[in-house]
Amino acid sequence: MMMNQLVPHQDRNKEAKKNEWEPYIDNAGTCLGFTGEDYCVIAADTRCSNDSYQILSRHVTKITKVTDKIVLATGGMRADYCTLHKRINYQAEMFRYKNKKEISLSGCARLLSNILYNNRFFPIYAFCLLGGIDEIGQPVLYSYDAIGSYGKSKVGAVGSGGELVEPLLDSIILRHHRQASVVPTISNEELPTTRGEDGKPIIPKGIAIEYAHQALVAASERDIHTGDFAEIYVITKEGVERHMRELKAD
Amino acid sequence: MSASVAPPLPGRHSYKVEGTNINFAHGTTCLAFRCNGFAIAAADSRSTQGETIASQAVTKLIKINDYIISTMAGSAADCQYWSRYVGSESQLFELRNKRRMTVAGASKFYSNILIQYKGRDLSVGSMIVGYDDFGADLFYIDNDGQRVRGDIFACGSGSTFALSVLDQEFRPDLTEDEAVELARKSIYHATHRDSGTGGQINVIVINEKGTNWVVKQDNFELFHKYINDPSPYPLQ
Repeated sequence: MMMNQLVPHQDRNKEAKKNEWEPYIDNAGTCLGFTGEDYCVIAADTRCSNDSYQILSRHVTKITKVTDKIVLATGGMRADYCTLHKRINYQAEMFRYKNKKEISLSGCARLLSNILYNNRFFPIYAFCLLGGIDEIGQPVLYSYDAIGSYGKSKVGAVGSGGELVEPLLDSIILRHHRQASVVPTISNEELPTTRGEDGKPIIPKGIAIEYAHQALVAASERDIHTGDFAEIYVITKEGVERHMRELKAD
Repeated sequence: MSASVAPPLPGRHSYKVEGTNINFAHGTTCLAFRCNGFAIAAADSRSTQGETIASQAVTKLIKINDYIISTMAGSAADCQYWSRYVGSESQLFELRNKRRMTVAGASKFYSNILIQYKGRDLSVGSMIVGYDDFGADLFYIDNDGQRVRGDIFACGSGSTFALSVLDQEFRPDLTEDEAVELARKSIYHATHRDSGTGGQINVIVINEKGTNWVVKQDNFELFHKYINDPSPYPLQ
């Protein structure tokens, strides 16, 4: 007791913190996704880091194909999201056996939200993007927080580099914040020439894959936990394509 | 009668779970009021995680059923999940009893759930707005278990700004168009003064025909609309 009293108050706090139970590790990594005319792109890097500067693995997948029309990408704690992906896959498989059809995208989205919220008081440390083709053939992307709040969005980015990537996608994919009165008119030479009804350019699938890759390159340039390889999934009515691209390994 | 109760905001507008790094959505302006024969619910669409804007297009007005809307402030997941739950229960109620759940009933059901979870760090501040056999009705409920009936409520970090506009021009005999414009203006002024509020402005009118989504407007357009209003402080 006497010894304890001699230790300065702040140090005692430090001592207490050391012994605190820390159930979470942030293995980091960046996931991004966006929807186009008839496709949904979901991409993630393949680095798995420690809480500090160590790289645990360079070949870790953050993306799971749930059905031929649904893909799930998650950043956060690896142990948690591996388990989460396993649970979603299990539920999707059980749905298949019971109903003789695939689970719908909106159904899967609600299922994921419920799984996350069921762990409300000991959250699953996982930030998800769920994308694919819905019941009426439209590409849709859902983004989540760790306890199951979710919403449809045209672009989404989660994980350690999410905050870097999201404004980039807003600008490049959605061409947001480009009203003439806010931003001076920019030259559109590098943009695809076809435009939708709202005057915004329609991005072809091939270019979308490049954009996803470039967004991850940009993230890996500024986020130490992102890098190595880019795993890019493209979901269309025909099914799921998987592309691998290189990122810098530094 | 008017009252404004912001949901508890430990720290600033972000909420940290003990022992984790998970921040949940906070920082909002929602308002609701009722006039003769209808009620209005309005909200912004910004969702923040700590200092970052997680999304600018969140729907903070959640449909419980065709005649009842709940607004969300506090933790997005808590509000979404439990509104969904109350929604499905209200559907079951309708099937069992062959009549719609009243607003008072839905809000009490919701409030009872929140009381059960009291002290477990749920974060919900919600207005339940709707139209039932007794007319337009409005309740404020929160995670402490509080449940109050009233005519005007606002909720969230920008609620004080919204209320000051709303209180000044509110009358029970507003027409629907006037009420929608007032709601939009109140939220707009909250977006102007509160950094936790922004994005688009959503306004819903609820009357005997059900819910009607009347406005979904980007804040940017409104800036130019209201900046042309005669102002006591003209721009330099």
